[in-house]
Amino acid sequence: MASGPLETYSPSQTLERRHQQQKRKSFNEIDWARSDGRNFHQCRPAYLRTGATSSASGSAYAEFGSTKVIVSVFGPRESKKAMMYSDVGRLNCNVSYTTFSTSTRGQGSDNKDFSSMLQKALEGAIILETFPKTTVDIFALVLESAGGDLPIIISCASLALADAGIMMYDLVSAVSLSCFGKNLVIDPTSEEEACQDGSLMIAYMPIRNEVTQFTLTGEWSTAKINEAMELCLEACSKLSNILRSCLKENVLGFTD
Amino acid sequence: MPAKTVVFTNVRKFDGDKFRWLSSGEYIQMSGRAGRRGIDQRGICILMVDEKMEPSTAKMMLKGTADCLNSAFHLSYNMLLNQLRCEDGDPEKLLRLSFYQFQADRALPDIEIHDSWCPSRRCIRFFSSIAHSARRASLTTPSTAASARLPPASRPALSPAHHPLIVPHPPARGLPARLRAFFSKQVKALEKERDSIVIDEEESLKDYYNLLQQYKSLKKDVRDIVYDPKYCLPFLQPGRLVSLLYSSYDKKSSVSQEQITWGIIINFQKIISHVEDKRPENSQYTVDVLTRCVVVKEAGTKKSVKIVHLKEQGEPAVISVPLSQIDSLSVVRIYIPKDLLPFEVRENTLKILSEVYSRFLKDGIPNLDPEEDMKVQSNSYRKAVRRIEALERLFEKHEIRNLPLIQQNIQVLHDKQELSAKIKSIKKSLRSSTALAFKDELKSHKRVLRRLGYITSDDVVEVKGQVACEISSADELTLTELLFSGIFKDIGIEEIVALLSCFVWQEKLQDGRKPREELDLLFSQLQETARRVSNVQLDCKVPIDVESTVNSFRPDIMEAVYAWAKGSKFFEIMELSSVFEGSLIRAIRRLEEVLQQLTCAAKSLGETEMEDKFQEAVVKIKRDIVFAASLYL
Amino acid sequence: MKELLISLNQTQKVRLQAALQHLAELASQVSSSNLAVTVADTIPVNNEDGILKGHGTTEFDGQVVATLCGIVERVNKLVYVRTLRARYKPEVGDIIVGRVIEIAPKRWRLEINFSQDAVLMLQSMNLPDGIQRRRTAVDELNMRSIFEENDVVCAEVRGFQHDGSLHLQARSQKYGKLERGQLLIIPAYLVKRRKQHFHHLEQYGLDLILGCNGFVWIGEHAEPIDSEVLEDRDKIPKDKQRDTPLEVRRNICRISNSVRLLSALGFALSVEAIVDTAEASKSSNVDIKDMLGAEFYVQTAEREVQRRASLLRKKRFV
Repeated sequence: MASGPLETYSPSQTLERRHQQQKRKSFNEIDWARSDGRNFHQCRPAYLRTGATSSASGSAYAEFGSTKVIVSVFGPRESKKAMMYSDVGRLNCNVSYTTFSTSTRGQGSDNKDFSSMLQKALEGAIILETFPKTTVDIFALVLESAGGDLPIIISCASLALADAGIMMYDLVSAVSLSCFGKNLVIDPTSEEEACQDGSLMIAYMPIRNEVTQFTLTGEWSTAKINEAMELCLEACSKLSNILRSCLKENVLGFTD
Repeated sequence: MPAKTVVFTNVRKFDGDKFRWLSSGEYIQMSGRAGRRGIDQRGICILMVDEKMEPSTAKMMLKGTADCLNSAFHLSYNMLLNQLRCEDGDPEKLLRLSFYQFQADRALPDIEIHDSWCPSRRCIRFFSSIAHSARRASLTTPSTAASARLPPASRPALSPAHHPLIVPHPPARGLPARLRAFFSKQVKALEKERDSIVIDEEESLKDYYNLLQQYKSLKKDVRDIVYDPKYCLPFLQPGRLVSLLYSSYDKKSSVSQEQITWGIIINFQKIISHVEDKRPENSQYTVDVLTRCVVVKEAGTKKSVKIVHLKEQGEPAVISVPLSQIDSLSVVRIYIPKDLLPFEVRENTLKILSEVYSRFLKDGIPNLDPEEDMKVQSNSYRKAVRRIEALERLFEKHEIRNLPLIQQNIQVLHDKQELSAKIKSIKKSLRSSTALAFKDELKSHKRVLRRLGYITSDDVVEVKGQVACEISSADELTLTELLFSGIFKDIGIEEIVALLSCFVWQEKLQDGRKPREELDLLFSQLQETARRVSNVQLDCKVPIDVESTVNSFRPDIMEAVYAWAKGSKFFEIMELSSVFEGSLIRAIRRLEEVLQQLTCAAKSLGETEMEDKFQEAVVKIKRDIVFAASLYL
Repeated sequence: MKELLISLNQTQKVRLQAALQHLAELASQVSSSNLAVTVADTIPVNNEDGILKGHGTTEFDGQVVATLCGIVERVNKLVYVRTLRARYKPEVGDIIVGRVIEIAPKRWRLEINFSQDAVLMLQSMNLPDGIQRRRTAVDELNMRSIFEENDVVCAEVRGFQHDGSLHLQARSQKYGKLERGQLLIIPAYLVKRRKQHFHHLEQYGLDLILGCNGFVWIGEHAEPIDSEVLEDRDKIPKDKQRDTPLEVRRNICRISNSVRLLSALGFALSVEAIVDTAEASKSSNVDIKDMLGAEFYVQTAEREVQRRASLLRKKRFV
């Protein structure tokens, strides 16, 4: 039983770690170019359409760069859980990834809590009293995951809810931001996300000026948080305008 | 509660409007409780009558029928909207099958037909029996002229030989085809008869006839003015000679005519008729007159006294005649003895009368001149007199006057005119039998709803209409307009309640207090809205009086209800307004109903704020004694 | 309803595009100047006081803000937002077609195109023998003989319960179980409220019921039954009852295809439109199965353009 050289037992992860370390080094430089040519404070172009699923009450499709998400909303409809009489409606969210959405086949690992996070983000925006004793089901399907999944899901879901005719206080738009040392990079792609130092996600209702969800990971100083928040809120407002214009097109382009 | 005896301490009562006799329906209701079932053999009813009552009045009260049930069907907007909301809601069908329509159909005027067109004997029996039962049940509306014309005694039994035939009450859906064909045949036959009567120089004769009619009616007008109790009462002194109108039956020509005879006034008195009018001057008077009469013993123990001419056979008797039967009052007065009971005294007085009559035979007994003696000063009298004079001059100038057969021709023309009138009335009843009672109203109501935007032009109910469908306890149009004008949004709950009280309070309070500033402002807004709605209704030909509708909203209890909503006690709010407690409680209960309906209406609109407001208002007023289920606690 | 999967070739696509464009132009010519809003847009009210805020609006920061995407409608001082592809909003008196999904004590639960199931009480339903009497326990046990699960029923909305679900009634002869026909599900906003929703198409011998909830029933014509005739009907055993003739079945299919077509094109349904489309297909000898094909699809769109244009012209000259 001769112990072979340590190299034979070393897993291939070291290769990845070396890649990451390389990348991180590059990120730690003062100015580095993002892989898709954006500057730090520029979001990906958004493509949004409603009416993706015909059998649903409302649906929306969003493409932010390579991330493609489709959200369908069913309801308000009866369900066994909602048979108990209650004054407010229930919101039921479900986020699922297709098997081909990530570069390696199979379900992603960090999205099991996306469902509950989506629900928390949207709860503050929907007027639940309008559909007592019924539920609204939201099904989000990520067709291709390329970074910034949850904020895109949230924005797309609020578009689908508006399409379904569910009463809301305002449209929710969400943007996430990564921090690399001193740099704040908005709307990160999945590779950027993988080696970030910290992240911040805000789901925001611009007209009401209310934040429905605020997620912070990593180590942040107060000043950085302030700066990051300002950036995000601005981006959210712009995104919300895009959402609005998409809905307006729908309304105006309706033939009888 | 069962009772053996029922005692009426008074037979007159005040019904809120006037002091009148008990009606037969009321009597039946109240006396019906006399006699305990199973315990008493009979129930006893005692009436204490402490004033003079005409026998006819007593008969009406005791033997009359119950108050007849007349439909008070009223086409409301709420009903119409709810009908239009359902797919198979057909307002016309509802009207056709309503009780009102049924009663209207039954009350079609009785039509008399000539015997040559009598249907078969079986039909006659069938028709008469229906007519009889209908008469007994008295389901007819206040009778038409036709049925009042013939006194019941002349209605025949079943044989077709008698000519007047009562045509019965067609079924509710209009006359069946058989009857309608029958009537149109009748009309044609009557027309044929009328056209067959030919008179020479018909045109000028018609002219003369019209003049005659005018003359007669003018004379009647003059008579009415002069013999108004106001003027003639002072002249109805005992001993005055008076000429009376009476109808005499001429056996030879079997025609009854109006004739004049003379009599002496003994006394006069006021009669209190069954239905009393408000103003005492219009009440009836009867005059006791001594004149020659014929006492006829009819079947049983009844006697009827008929006036005959002085010169004819008969006995002197005192008879009561109504004022309308007096033709003229004379200037002459004679002394009459105090006691007129003995026959000879009466005979003597009558002899004196005949003396006077024969003395004045040449010129006729001089009459009281209305203007000079009786001091009739009215303008209409003078005008009528002048017109009579003009007509008399026209008469003299008329060329036909001197035609020999003038009187007969006039009579024939008269018959012809009557035939035409009959034809017209039959035609009218044919038409009206198929018409719906409320058809025009239905059309105009729909027009109003379209104009105000409650329904679309093809009768689909809109948002406003949905709201008006919910409101049934108050004027739905005005209230919906008020709701949509947003007036309930900015005012507080107590003001809402006070404003709504104007809808439920319909009595007129003479000296109601004016409510305070803000409430008065709200009330004036209400009146404006009501006026606008009424004007639209008037434009659409709904028969409505704008001012009276606007004034039917009364602000009398606004203050009281405001205080009640604020939480004061009942006796406190009673001091604020001088109405009956019961009326106020009824108004507040009705108010709560209106508020519940408004809550439903607000819910259908989606206005949650207003819905909550109304709910809160209900909570605020629904308390204490006003809403206590029973006062026996 | 599943969208029609129509593969159009190039010319057809062009024609369809042109037709839809025409329709859009026509629509814009007649459209009213109502404001289109999206969620959280402010509705301009010009600071009028006493504005009533109806459905789809709420107050925020002293201003009236929309909570739905749609068009602003005003009635006097009431302001509300009407969504375009609206879900069915029930009102009292609507005619509804639904399917029984459950039999509960003394009631049936029906699925209609609404957020909650509708309830049809046993008392609101005529008994088979037509007698008016109290429903006893035996009646309750025999509920299955009147309606079973998956039966299609036609009823009328009687009212709302406090939690928003509907109460139905089926007391008239024309309501009740629907047999021998097809049930189609179309978006509810395509059925506008009219005076009449029951149509008897004489020339085809069919009954057409346009339920306000988006369920459309096309079936063989059934005479409204009198209670005397009822006894005779029971005597005939079911299998001996007459089968629907072939011609009637063809007509049913034709009419239902025209309904599908019109709803796929997004045109509002009315009896005239449906019958016109069916007639057009008959006259141009289009086979029933080809009615859902691309060619007829485009033709129908073009025909609609012509119809609307002529209507507009008529309005202008009147």
